[in-house]
Amino acid sequence: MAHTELLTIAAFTFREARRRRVFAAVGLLSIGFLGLYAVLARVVVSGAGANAGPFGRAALAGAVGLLGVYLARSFSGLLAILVSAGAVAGEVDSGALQSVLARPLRRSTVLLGKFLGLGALLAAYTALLQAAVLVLAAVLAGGHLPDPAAVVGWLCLEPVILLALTLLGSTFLPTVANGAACVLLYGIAVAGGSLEQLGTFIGRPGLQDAGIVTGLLLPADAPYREAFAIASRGLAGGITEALGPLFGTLARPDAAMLAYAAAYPCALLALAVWVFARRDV
Amino acid sequence: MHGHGAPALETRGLTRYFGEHAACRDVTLSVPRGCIFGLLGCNGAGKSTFVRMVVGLCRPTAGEAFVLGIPAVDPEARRRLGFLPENFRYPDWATGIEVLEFHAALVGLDPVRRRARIAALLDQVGLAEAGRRTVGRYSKGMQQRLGLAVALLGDPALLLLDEPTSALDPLGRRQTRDLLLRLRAEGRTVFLNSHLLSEVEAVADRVAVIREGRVVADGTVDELLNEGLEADVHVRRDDAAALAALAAGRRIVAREEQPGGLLRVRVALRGRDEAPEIAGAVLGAGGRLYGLQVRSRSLEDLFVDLAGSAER
Repeated sequence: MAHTELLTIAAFTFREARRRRVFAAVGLLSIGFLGLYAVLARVVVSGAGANAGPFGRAALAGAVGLLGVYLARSFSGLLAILVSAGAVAGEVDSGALQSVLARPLRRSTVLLGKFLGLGALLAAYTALLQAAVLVLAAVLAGGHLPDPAAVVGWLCLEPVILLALTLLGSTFLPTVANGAACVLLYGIAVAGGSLEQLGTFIGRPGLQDAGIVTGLLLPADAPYREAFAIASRGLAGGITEALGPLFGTLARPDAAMLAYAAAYPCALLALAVWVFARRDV
Repeated sequence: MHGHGAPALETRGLTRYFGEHAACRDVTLSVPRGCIFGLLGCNGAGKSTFVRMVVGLCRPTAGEAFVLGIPAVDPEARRRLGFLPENFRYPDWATGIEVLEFHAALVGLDPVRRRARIAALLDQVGLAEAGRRTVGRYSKGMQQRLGLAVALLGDPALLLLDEPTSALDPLGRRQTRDLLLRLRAEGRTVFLNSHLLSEVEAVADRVAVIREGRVVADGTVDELLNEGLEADVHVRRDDAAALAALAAGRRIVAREEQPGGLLRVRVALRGRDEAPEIAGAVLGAGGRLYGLQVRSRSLEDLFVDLAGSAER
């Protein structure tokens, strides 16, 4: 029975996002982004000139293509925060949750149903957008992706982590405060990830440690670095150097950090369920 | 069978503090099955907090509540009740039918029966024509009607309605009143939170008054209205037999001289039926009766008395 209720809430959440045209608007803008990015990338790669040599041109093309992955992951990350910032708090304020929670279901079912519905939408959006960007990168660089499913899979984990974080915040923070706090945390996580790469690049262990600490706080950056590392392998050599420590992967996340990132949304959801079960509605 | 014969709703010492402020204090109530029960109180008296605790939206600081004998904290208890919140909003992007379908799925209504049940409910609350319209285009009154339909969806034995007619026009109020009476006739229990005392008086079998979180009166409407009932009796000032008959075993509240040698004696009554007994006693003692009028009280009078006593 709980299974049916979970799917009912997930489906309603999914339908709400569709009917509010959130993803239609984001989808259209994303198509615009892809078109513009393809044109600009083509201009940059063409402008490299003959003196770059065939290897240099391929590396540049791959780097420019993969820069699109970085931009697209930012869109997905911010979208995850925006669509879920008021998932609980907003519905408590409007009174929409009262009649739902008066039904014979557990609050965990409501929360997990929302996570499932929004998670499915975000994963679908991220997978489509990143697949398009990766195809574009592959066409520009003339290479191929060694493991596209793994690349897209890791890229989809990032918005799922942010969704779990924002849902947790939504169980005890007002919508705007939650959205602002999560955007800041996301910024810190991305900056920490870049610091870690920079620390590797210039040989400063202190910076690497700072990156690890922010990664433990919010491991949103590690899945991106892993996806980038896999993608860059197939799309011409020297790409990581071309993108540098800020956008590329010089130090690949270890298995423990990736496992931590994968388990992180589950732990956050468990905490969100615990908090939500105790709050007044 | 769980809760067989138990009251529709029972609370024992239900208490809720918000910091230092007690929204509900030691509320003990028993609502029999098959009646309409009105909970009255001023704004902030604790009515909504009480209902929210029963429905599980708010955790009590102390005490417990039972729905048909099932602890209210058990989700199974919520399977037996329908709830209309006071301040609520359904998703404005969904149609009335979509809202009902969503709730029908949550209460586990058989998909085959669902469509017919939804159509019947929309008709019952006067939204048959508006079911396919989005909630964003509903007036407040229409949303309240939709809320009533949502509350009725699971075929509940107990309905908890928090200010169900506050946004309705007079016609809507009449329809809702008729619907509540029909639900009672079907054997359901209706728990009504309302400011609209005349509405409650028109339908409720029992009422309780809550003030500053405490229940200060609880009983049938007749019992409460008969409490403090008085009659004005007009006799001649010099009619010793009549005055003696009036004073025998009765409490005289006031005497006031009237023109024409008459005296108005205000007598405390134990019930409305005592009025003809007074007339019989005066006449039986050889006295002459010039007038007898029972001072009728309304629920509003009772409410004002109880609310006013807080300020004294």
